[in-house]
Amino acid sequence: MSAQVDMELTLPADPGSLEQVHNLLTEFLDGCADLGMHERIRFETAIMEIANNVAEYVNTDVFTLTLADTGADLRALFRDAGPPLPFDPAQRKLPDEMAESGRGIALACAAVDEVNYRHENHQNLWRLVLHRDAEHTRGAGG
Amino acid sequence: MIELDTGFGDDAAVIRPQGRLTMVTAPQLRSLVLHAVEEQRVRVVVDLSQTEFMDSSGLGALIAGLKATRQAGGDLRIACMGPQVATIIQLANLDRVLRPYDSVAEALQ
Repeated sequence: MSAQVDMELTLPADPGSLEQVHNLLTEFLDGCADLGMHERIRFETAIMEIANNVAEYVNTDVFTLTLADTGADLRALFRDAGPPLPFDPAQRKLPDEMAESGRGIALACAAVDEVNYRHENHQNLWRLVLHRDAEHTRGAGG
Repeated sequence: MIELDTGFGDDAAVIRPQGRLTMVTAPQLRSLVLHAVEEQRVRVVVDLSQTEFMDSSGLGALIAGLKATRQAGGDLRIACMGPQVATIIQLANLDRVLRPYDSVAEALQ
């Protein structure tokens, strides 16, 4: 069982923050003991898709990302004080294969075990969970 | 950084994105493919051997390039992808549209 690792970062809610998010995420994943390559790839892919969404669409100054390794799960929480999203993320499906955009949230949902969005207490909250050592429950090869 | 290599014949171009191909850098890939097509280089290979990470914006740029090259009578092919790129292409169900080649030379044939 891995020790819990926690990291937190608050950044301006704009695309210029994405490199810092990615760097923090890389540092976090490097510190997660016994993390398989596919688990790492799936978590990294999902986190950056939600980070893209937050950076591009949130109408507020800053957002906070918290990352944790409980040993059983990798967990992420995005928080911002912007207004609710104007669409239901749970309804996002992969678009037509020749579409040039609109895949981000559906990809995040496909990559990890849980993606949950809520607006509560004047905050947007995105929670993502990847169960560790659960790759056999997903599609092969990814 | 994204490198454009035109040393493979008059109608071909090889584009090499390095590092992370993301929302920030994908517009540059899109522009380079369109530039190649404008110069009649309609056989475009995107060499992903140095692309350590790609997000959905990168996928969108590849699809835009695929459409642009095909409309001009050519094609866009991807080569030498790593495990993260393979994963996101599979998760997006694009493995039929963006068929991977093991090498740039194979993709250019």
